[in-house]
Amino acid sequence: MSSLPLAHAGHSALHRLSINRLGLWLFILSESCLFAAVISSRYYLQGLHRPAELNQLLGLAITAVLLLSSLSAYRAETAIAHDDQRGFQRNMLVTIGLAGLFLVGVGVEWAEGFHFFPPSSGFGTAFFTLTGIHAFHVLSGALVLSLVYLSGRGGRFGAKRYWPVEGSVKYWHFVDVAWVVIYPTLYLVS
Amino acid sequence: MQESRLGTRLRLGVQVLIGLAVLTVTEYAISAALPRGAIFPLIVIALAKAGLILRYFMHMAQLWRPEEH
Repeated sequence: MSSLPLAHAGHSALHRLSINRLGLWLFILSESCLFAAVISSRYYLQGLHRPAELNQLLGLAITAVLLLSSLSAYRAETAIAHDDQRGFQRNMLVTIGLAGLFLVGVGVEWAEGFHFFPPSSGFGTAFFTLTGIHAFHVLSGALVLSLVYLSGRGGRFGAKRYWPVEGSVKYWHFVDVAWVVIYPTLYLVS
Repeated sequence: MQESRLGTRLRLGVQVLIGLAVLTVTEYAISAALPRGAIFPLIVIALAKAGLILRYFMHMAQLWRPEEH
């Protein structure tokens, strides 16, 4: 008899978590529509044209940085799901650092881009719009990860309660998925 | 038990990253080797990479199996 309220509480928590997850996935779906519109405009306006001056090595390097940050974000979430506080904090810091490195890489690419294909050119319009919107998402993701890291330093999250970590890490992975499509769209197709 | 589960999950993350790295190098090589008309394989590789992240990093299956971590 006494286990009934506990079972109900567990079911209620799982139900709430399911609703949280569904809400986040719907948000991610709406964000995907934004990226899909801008990516398709690149093909509509420019076809498969790609300037020869595009820095291919830098594009590959910042792609590697973002993929590495996805691994550290995954490890942070996995660590907190197993009550590993040190692993959570270490991997969150690594993810935030890699986000900063990615933004520096985009900044270098922009400095080169302004010289070779300015925003007033056809490819420049697509390039700066896509990388700009994506960089804004990287920046907002890094800010959210930083807030979660700061609020989790005192042991606020644990194996039984880590939705803020899960939510922010899922958003970070979405930023990575968006780049997985943007990278070939801007750097590889021709 | 908890330690071994954590270790298994962390290893899975590294395996997914290796898969993503191999696919990225492949698309880069395809683009360099086939400067024209390489869009179809590039789309397939991009979708495969997105699928790996959605499946293993974002745990998309939780949408229909809520108890899964």
